[in-house]
Amino acid sequence: MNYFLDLIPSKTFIEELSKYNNQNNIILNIYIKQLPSMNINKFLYIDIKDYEKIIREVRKNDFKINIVFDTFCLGNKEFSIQGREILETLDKVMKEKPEFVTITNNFYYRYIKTHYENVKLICSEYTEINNVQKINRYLEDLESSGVKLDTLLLKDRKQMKYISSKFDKNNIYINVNKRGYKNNIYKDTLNNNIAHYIQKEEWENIEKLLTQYKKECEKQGQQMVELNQEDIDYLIGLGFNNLWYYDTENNPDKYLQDIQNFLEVKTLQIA
Amino acid sequence: MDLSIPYNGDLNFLQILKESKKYNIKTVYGKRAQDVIGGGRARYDITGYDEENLKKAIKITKEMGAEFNYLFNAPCSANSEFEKEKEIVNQIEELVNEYKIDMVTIANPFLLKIVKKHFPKLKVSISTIARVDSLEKVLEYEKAGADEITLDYNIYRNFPELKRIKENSSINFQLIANDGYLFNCPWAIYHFQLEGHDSQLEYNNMLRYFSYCRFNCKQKSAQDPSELIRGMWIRPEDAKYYEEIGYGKLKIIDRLKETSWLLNVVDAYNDGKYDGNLSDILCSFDTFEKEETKTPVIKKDDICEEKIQSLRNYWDLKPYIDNKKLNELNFIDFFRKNKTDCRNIKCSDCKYCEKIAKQSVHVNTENANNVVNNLDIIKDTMADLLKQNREKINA
Repeated sequence: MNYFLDLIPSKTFIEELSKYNNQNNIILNIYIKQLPSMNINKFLYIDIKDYEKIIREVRKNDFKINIVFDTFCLGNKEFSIQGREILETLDKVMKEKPEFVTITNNFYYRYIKTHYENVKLICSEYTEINNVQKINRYLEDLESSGVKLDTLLLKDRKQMKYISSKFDKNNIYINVNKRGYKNNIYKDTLNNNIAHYIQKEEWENIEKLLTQYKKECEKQGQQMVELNQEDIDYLIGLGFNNLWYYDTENNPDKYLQDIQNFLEVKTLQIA
Repeated sequence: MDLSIPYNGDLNFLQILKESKKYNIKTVYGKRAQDVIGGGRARYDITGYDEENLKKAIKITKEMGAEFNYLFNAPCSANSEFEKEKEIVNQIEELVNEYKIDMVTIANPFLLKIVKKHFPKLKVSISTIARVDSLEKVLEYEKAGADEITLDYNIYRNFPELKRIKENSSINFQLIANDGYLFNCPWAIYHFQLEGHDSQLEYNNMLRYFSYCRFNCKQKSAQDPSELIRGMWIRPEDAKYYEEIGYGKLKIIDRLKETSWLLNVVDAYNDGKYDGNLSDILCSFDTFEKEETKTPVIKKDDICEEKIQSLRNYWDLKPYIDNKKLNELNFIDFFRKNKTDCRNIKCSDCKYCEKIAKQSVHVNTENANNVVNNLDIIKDTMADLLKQNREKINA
């Protein structure tokens, strides 16, 4: 079983988590300010100038690394001066040979694929992998090393059983504790908005946006979708072995506690 | 069958349609190359027309008894729907009061709220870019006040879902007739974002846009001709089956094409038939009245940022899709009778499109291989060019 856990950039966190690394295969998700991501927890982001120091600490404790560069929209920066800077940052990051990169942007996907051979490229859930055809597109057509599935698809047991029989399960990645609204017409727009606010570091606007978004969805009577314990057990039973557990509350002590519970008994702490 | 027609900047095109009187044109759609919200095509793609031209186009549209639909369908406005609401309202106000548009097309539900709040009488059409692919999403847009929806391409052959949608909603629909879009395209979202941002006023300082996603799509089609059959187009002969289940309006694309090309397409859908090469009327290809020539092999030194748009010869695929053969094979029957949602099974488990492609698609193998190789070189060179051009950008 592989566990993808968010790195809280502190020595204490790394040392505490290292106690679990012998019995479990832990990969630490690293968020770098200069390589935009969709994670709205601003305390997870590290500056590129601190990157090497943190990687040394992470490697000292034998963790594997997943660089999360999964922003939904870059506003065409990839073809501008800022795009060149992103490429430079990417090259710097890749020098430390992370084992995984989780990505949404097709342009950078190709760049990494052609310039860096030994890294596993995971297509993030923001590429909207919500059906079998999409999985096929990414795994076979784009030769991706892995796909993170949409939560709605994870809840569909019939489909997940079919997927487990048709695809290499080692290439399927599952968000254990991500939530979303079903059939939500605001989803793409919200992802676009969040992406741009994160890039401008307007964290307070993200809070306002999410409040507004939640209000709209509830007004429409939309149903929240998330995995429960039975879903997790079913998916593990089918043989899926790449589990991703986010820090959703920006509370390092609680996150550590939740991870410990999860690693020991595969039990979610449902808020 | 009602038609929605693109305005390509040629007033003569609209005049011909108006004077012929044989077409059921319900809507003409178009937009400026750039505006505050943006649309579905990059500004570098559009030859552009001035304000007087746009006003005349709208006038002719009304003279033919149709409505003019202005496109504001970029999927991402980089938060301008919150930060520039006043500017957006002013722009729409100008279009409504001075230009007399009848409808706008949007892809962002927050924009729908803005339009309905300030312009309650203005009709709103939801773009295919909004990816409305289920009854549940249709009902959400219906509740939010939309007047029309262009459904997501990926369900055009899912007849059970199309029927379910039509039977349970009262909103108007249109389907895009002639796009050679890849089924469940992995580059679709990115493509719409790139094109959308490029057509926004804020993005004047970027490097010249190039259609990175279209390169991938062409490459895929060149590698596997069955992709040409999987593409979500609707044949003129099959339009009647969609009309039977309640989809009586087709949108013809697109705004970048020449008048002669567009007239050929409009005639095909108006007549309900097309003899010859189906790719003549699909907007992803440029086969109409064009001879197939040998695809040259590109050298890395041929590529520079300024010339990227003129490298078309190196990546232009010219397939022959035998439409007469598709008639003989009763192509659409499989989808009309099939209860399976193509999104939920692997193509290798079904192989219908592959079987059809073997009998009806002809692609010059050498040209196809050159397209694939050329595009690999072009895509990789662009990243290198970005790194090298720093001094030039800063100058």
